[in-house]
Order: sequence, then C-alpha cells, then structure tokens
Amino acid sequence: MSTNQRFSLPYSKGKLDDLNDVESHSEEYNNTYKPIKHQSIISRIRSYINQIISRTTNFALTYKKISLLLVTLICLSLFTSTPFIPHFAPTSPKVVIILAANEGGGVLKWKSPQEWSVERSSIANKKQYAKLHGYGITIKDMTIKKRYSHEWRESWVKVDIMKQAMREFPDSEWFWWLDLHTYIMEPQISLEQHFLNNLENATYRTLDGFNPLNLPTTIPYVDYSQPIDMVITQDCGGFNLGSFLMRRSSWSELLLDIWWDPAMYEQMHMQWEHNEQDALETLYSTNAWIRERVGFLPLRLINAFPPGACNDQADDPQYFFKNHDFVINMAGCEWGRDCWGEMEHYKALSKNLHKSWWHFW
Amino acid sequence: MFGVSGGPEFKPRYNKSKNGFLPLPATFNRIRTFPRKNFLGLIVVIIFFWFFLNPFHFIGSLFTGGEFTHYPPPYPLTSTQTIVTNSKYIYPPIEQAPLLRELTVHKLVKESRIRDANFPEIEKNVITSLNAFDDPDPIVQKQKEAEENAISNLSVAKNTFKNHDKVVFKPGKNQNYPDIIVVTAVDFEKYTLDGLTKIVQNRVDYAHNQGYGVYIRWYQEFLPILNSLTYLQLKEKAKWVRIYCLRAAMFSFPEAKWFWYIDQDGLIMDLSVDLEEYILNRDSLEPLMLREQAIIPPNGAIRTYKNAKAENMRLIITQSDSKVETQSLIVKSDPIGKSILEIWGNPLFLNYPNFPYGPDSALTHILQWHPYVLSKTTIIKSRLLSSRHAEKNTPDNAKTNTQNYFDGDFIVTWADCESPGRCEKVLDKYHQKLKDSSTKAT
Repeated sequence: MSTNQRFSLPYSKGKLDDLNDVESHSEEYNNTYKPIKHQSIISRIRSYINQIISRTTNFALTYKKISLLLVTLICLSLFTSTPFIPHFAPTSPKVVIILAANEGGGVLKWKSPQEWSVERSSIANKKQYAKLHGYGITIKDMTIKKRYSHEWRESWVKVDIMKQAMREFPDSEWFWWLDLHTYIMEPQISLEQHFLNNLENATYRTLDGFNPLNLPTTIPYVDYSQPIDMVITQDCGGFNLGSFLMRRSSWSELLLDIWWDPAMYEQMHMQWEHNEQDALETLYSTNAWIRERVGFLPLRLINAFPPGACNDQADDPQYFFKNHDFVINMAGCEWGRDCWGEMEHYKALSKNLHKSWWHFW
Repeated sequence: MFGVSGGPEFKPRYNKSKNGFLPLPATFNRIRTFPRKNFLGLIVVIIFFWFFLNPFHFIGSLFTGGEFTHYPPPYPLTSTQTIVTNSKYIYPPIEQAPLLRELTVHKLVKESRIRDANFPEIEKNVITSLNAFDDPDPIVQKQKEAEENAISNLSVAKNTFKNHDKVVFKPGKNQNYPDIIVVTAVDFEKYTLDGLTKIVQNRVDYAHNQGYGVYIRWYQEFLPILNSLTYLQLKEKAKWVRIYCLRAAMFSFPEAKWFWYIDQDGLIMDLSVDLEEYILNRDSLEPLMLREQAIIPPNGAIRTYKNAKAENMRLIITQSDSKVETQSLIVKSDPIGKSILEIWGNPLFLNYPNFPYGPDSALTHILQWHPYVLSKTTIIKSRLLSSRHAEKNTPDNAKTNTQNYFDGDFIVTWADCESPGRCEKVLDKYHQKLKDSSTKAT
C-alpha cells in the first residue's frame, strides 16, 4: 500500500505510516491532510487492527503457498484428529466421575427443599473434587422414565448411563460411579494415590475372606492373572454399586452389554430385588470371565456407611465411617432416615476435619 | 563483618574493637574455603543417582507392599488338579467304550439329592463328578487309583473316564504349540466301538496332516454341569455339551489360537484343507463373511453388521435354511472368545424352557439382544463348514444347493439321523467314501 501511493504534501511529516492512518480514516479527514495529533483510543485501536490486517493480507498475498499451507495445518490441527500433527485440543482426563443426580426427578412426588439442598451439596462436592485433581465429571439425570419402569428395567439405567459416559469421554480410562447420597470427605486424596496406582495390592479378588452372600468361593477356569477392570465393594448385603469404578476395555464393554439380558431377567426378576446389583452377583457366581477381572475394595475405602445403614450388623466396624475415611455413602437414607440431616452433618464434619489451625472461626 | 579477616591465626577481637564484641566460632572460617565447584558437581551426581538409578527404591516398595497377592491358578471343570501331557492329540481311550457302557452313567457320576438351606421344601438333584472325592494329595490319589485299577478293568475305565477332565497340554522341548485345535465330543451310548474309532481316527488323521491338535471328550463327562441325566437323551439338550466341551478345550490348550468344534455326527471329508488358509486368515475370511445376513433366515429383523471386519471376529458359525446351527463352529481363543462361550453356556440359558433348539436358540437370542457379541460374530456359507448329508441327492444341483453335501466338500454332517443305528450307517457310508478317495489319491 505504502509503495504504490506516495504523495509529497506540504503538511506531511514525511512518515508514510501516518499517511496510511490518514488513508484508512479518510471519512473523518476527508478534506484536510493535516496530521492526526489527538486520536481517540478507539480510533487508535482501530488503526492498529487495520495495520495488522493489512500486514497479514500483504503477507498472504506475497507468500501464497506458505500461507495456504499454514491455514491447512491449523485447520487440520484444530478440527480433525489427523496423525503426525500436534493437536491443541484439551487433554482428556484419566478418571471421570459419574454422578447420578435428580433421583426420581420429582415425577412421583414433589421434590422437597431438603432434597434440592442435598443435591446441591453433593454436586458441589464432586465438582470441587474433580476440579482439584483434574478429573472429568458428568452429572446424569436419574429421572424416572417409562422405559425403565415396572418389571422391565427399573434401575438398570445405571448400565445405560455407564455406556453413555464411556462414549462421552472416549479417551478416559477409569469411570467412577457415585450415587447422589455420597460425600467425598477427604477431597485432597487423589484416586491414583488412594488405590489406583496400587490396584493389585489394594484389592482382593477371591471371596474366601469376606463373603456376606455365601457365593461360591471358587469356580472352574478362573484365571486371576487378568487385569482388574472393575472395582466394587461389598457391604453387609452383598455387592454395593453405590460407588464403584470401571475401566474402559473390551471386557467392560461386553459386561455392560450382557448385564441386562431378557431371558435371564425373565427367570430371575422375582429373586433380583436390587436388579443390576443382584444380576451382577448372579453373573459373578457362574461366569469365570467376570470373576477374573473384578476386584473388591474394603467398604470403607470408597464407600463408608454412616451408622443406620447395615442396621443388623451395627457392631461390625468394617462398614462404618471413621474420621478421615475417603467417601461416605448415606446408603438407604431415603428409607426412613433423614438424608438432609446426614448430609449436613457430614458436610460440617468434613469442613471441621480440614479446618486449618490458624482459622479460629 | 564476621570472618572478614578469618584464618588460622584468628583471635578474639572484643578487647580491641568497639564494633564487635562477640567471639566468632572457630568453624566459621571454613565457610569461604569450602570448594564451591565440587559442591555443585556433587549435587548433580546425587540427583542423577537418585532419579535415574533409584538406589532406595526398596524403601518405597516397603510402603506399597511389593509382592502381589497370590491367587489360585485356574483349574478344570470338575477337579482342582491337572495332569500334564505333551501329546497334542488328547482323546479318551476309545477301546474302553464297551466297559463304560457296561458301567452305565450311574456308576460314572455321583447323584445326590440335597435340600437348600433357604428353601428346605424343594429337593434338588445334584450330579457331581467322581473327581470331587479325590484325595487332595495327587500322589496318594494316584496310589489309590493304582490299587483299584489292579483289581478290575472296570475300575480302570472308571478312573480314566474321571481323570480325562484334568488333562492339560504342555509342549515338550522341541514341540511346536498347535495353533488350531479340532474339538469333538463323542457319546459311547450312541455309536459302537467301531463307529467311535472311525470318528476319532478321522479327527486325528486330519490334525496330523495339518499339524493341529485334537481334543476329544465323552459326552457323559459333562453331566455334572448339565446336572441332569435325562438331558443327554434329549437331542436338543444334548447339544449343550458342545459349548462346554469347547470351553474345556480352551483350558487344556491355553495358548492355541482357534478352536474348531465339529460334532460327532460328522466327518472331515477333505484332509488336505488348511483351515487357516481356507477360512481363518484375515484375507480368506473377509470375502466369506455374510454381511447383513439375517440371524433368523430368511428375513429376521436383526442382521449381521455391514461393516464387520474379519480381524475382529471371534465366533464363526453357519446357518441352515431356518436357524443358526452349531454342529460345526469356530471360536477364537482370546478373552472375548472365552467370555462369549461362558455367556452362552450360562446355566440360566441351559435350563431356560423357551429355547426349543438348546444352544442354537440361546445363540440366536444372544446375537439378537447383545450387539457387542453380534459385532464379534460372523456367519459363513453352510457348505464351507457343515454340509449336510441328504438321502436323495442329485449331483446336478451341486452349485445351487446351499446346504447339502456334494463330493468335494470339506465336511459332511448328519445331525438329523433318526436313530443311532441309522447314524452309524451314514457314518459307514461316508467313511467308505473317504477311504476310497484316499486310496485313489495314493
């Protein structure tokens, strides 16, 4: 631009940059060729932008091939997943927390203020935890839906949500399911540090130590050298799926596919009170391939109970929360206990336990 | 101020100077003389050792608990012990068939009636293998069996029958591991000794030609898992043995890649076919896979996947005109292949009354309800793997017929024969044919 138009004007200071400015604002300075002395900030910014634009267009016009190459590379990097090109997409988290919220969804009865409050506290707690350790979090709506109702698939929604989350986070490895009525009491502990880095030793795989259901302790063909793809806990009534983890693998894909089977369900639905939990127990007790990759954690490690849950074994300390346990699960609080009260109690307790010594209030 | 004039001849100055009055400690004078360059080098060396050679890793492992917990090794269906063999042809001694028939199944397994603690009003029949009464010490058990065997031939037959479940292949020093295992279950109550010999010999001949392994079991060995003596008499229920036999074969040959089950009502008619080239290679399987093929022919709603890839297939099956067939099928021996077999053999499917064709119906059900299993399964043309014997067969329609056996086909099966006698006749006919063709060839 500056090369093709050169004016020698009486008032010009001889600086061609000024000239450009005059040209670009020709509407304002139509009739005078005076140098601009008192520019407003906006017009200065505007001129600056114009300068940049004109420079880049100049560059693009003079080096067409290079700029075309650059643009293609940037497009490929940002909008595709082509190999051998660095991609600037945010890296996906290793662990994803799946939080089942809005249980019931107010379909059968109004949601009370307490329920809203419990939900808010629970969600805030998990969000904060996920943010602290760089985990992904996805909050899933558990509204009662007709397709899961009656004898058909009630509470099997868990399986569908798990599949959905695995599709949503295609590069994450571990998926941690948490029920709504849980609270992470020690948010500073990361899962890796807690047990994921030391999974083989933190878990037990055979049931000869603790077997509340009296499932068969061994079955033929089980090869325990396989990696652990699912981490669950056992409470006084058997498997507890209020807080469990699954690793993305072909094994877990197959399990999520097989978990609900109409022919099995037809025969067993009268015995299966807790649907997906009992179905997993049945599969576990007969199928070697499932047994091979399930690891159990002691209940208190990720799923401690408050007093009131597991009422028949109230004197057995292995189930119940002690200060500095990782997660509390107020399992069954919606049946005859006060969810809100318990949630508030543990929320306050967690805050109290993490109070710094220099805070006096 | 301190140590400015330090040196060996340091002397307290508090008497001389008004500025300072504290005595300097004697060691302070070394501060300047410390070799700084070496100090830096030392730090670099320490960091290098610490991070790259990690000399104290055993301290860390003390806290994480270095050793893994030991879990029991996998064990066969009816026993926790195994017997290792280095022969890749695992089959029961066929010559004992008359003895086993004389013993009857009632002597070969233990039947008992038990009451469940939770439901005392219901009495259950339970069939257990005689392996359950083995001595936990294998040496003591061996002596016990040797004593029994010395008394009568019948106990020899009984003990070999019971121990056959424990046999596991382990290659010798110069032996190759077979990639493909031919699996068959034979019924000593259906065929005569002569017929059984022909069937087993056929499998061994083929495996020997191709360098494969053979795994043959008695139907009656799977009574403990069927848990009913009548099931073996029912044609459709007896088919379940196929699944359990395949699973047992996978245990006995843990490192083989493919397992081909061919039913006892069938003969391999072309011993020169290399199964790997014929079907199993990726390039061979790709054109053979029937895509968008209805699971229930001809127009079932659920069809095999259009974009299925050969390298993902774990289960290769065939179909008759009306349903999925299992008299000849191939399973890949990897975690998913094994899982599919175990899902298929679930006791809830075995005892489900709405499966009229036993495992065939169960497989149809699994493929229709579980897309993941369907994506790992392929259907190939029936005559590739299980041509059927037909009484009236004209060679004219050899090209158009999709089901029946014609000369030159790989396999012949005769699952539809009405009685054991008739089956035996069909077997004899094809065995003769095979013999003729092999003498012609040589």
